[in-house]
Amino acid sequence: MAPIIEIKDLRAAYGKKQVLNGFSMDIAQNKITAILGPSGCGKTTLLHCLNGSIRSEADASVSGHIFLQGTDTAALHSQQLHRRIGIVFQTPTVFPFSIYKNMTYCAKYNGIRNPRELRRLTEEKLTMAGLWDEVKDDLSENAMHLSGGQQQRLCIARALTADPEVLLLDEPCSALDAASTAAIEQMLLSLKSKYTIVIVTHNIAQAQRICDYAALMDQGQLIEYAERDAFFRHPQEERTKAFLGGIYG
Amino acid sequence: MHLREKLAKLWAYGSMALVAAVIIFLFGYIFQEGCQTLTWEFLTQPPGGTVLGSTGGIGPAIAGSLWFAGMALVIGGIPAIACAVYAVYFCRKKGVFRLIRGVMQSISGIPSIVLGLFAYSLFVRILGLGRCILSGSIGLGVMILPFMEVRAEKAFLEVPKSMVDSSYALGCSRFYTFQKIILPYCKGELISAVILGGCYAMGATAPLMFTGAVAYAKSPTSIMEPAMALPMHLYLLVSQGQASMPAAYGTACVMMGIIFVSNLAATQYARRCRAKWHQS
Repeated sequence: MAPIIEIKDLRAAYGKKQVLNGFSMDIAQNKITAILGPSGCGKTTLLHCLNGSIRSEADASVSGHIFLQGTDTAALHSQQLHRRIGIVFQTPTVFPFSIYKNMTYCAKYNGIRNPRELRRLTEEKLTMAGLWDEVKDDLSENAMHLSGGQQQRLCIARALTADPEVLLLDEPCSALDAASTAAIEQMLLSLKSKYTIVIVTHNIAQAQRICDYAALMDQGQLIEYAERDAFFRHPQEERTKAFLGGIYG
Repeated sequence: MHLREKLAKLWAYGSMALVAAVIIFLFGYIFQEGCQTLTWEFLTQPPGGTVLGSTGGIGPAIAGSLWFAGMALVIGGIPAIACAVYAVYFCRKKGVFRLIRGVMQSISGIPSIVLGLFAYSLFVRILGLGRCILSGSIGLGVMILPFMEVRAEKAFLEVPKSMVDSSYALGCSRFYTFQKIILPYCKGELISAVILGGCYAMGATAPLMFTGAVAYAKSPTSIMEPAMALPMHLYLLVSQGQASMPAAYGTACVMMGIIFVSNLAATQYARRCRAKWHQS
């Protein structure tokens, strides 16, 4: 199957600081791709380049190409790109509205006004996120009152209401406890049949548990990219072996 | 505790006590002298007497001040908020941002009498508008523009960036994000800035002296009429000597009362809006 995203010689800088140095990689459709690497290697910048949010940074410069289903993302309007490639940030950022209002925020922007349709969409996406049973009895509750794990799942469900083709997650479990992390991992495994997922994580064990493909980044470049078993059991590059062995990162 | 710490603490508490004492004395003295004059007739009737203001009231001056402040808010407030929106959410070039900051700082440094001269020269004389609320309000509007722009910018910068980014990340436009997230979040601070801007305009005399405020006029019905204004009326009462001093104290009492109540209302409203936002 053709990759859903093709990254060709991507370079990104903030002012004079070069962050991505000729990064190239393909992302497989309907798979979970884990991006690993030491802090400051450009993982988050890569995600921001993929979904286009780097365009809003005043001092950012980007060159190279990113193709989404064969279309150069540079030709897409920012809003259009954001809809097709959704992103969930490290810290859960729910809007200080009710759960229902969080879930219908994007749908209403896209013109869906029918209360039944909004309700159906809310239930569908919250079910996908594994949160429906926990919140269905009081959707009017303020989302800020949810636990951290619930908030993060709500953020993922909210991102799904835009019906993206790709979902990017930037260390979604870094601020969560083990139980919440397990719930999110289960949810991601169930989502990949419908969405392509790219997850940045520092947690090697987590990546091993859920990903289909894994990539190691360092100093803005791709070091190694392979299927899960090949990457974790038989890494080819010395830096990958060192990273997985915990020598650095 | 070290001697230096003790002295610093003494200096801090002493300064605070001095400032509080001055403010309490100022308010207290004005209210004590002025409240004797405050009657319904004083608040609603026009000034009268051989020495103008020695009898009658300040009704038209209150109305005129409200007209001047209201028009100044329209003329200065709308561009101020628009400028703040552009500077925070649309401006990508640092050079342009610095230019906006520089222009605002420059405007805030212009003496109010010079703004009055500008408004007089351009609007009263050259454009032929004459002395009217519109001419005076333009000078006032320019005066309060940087005051409100800075406050509006601060209010927008306090909106959590993560929340704004999350909205953009869903594919929502800047306008929708502004309408649903940013404006509700800082509505209280913006209205507070508007109210405080109005109070600032209401207390200014110099921009109005030759552009719109007059010694005597009926309550205005149009922006093309001249009008009385509380600070101008107070200035005239004080300059007329002892006969008008009771009315002067009453006028000052009304002015400070309006400003005090407006400040309190603005602060409380901003606080309530923020609390309500977090509970919604």
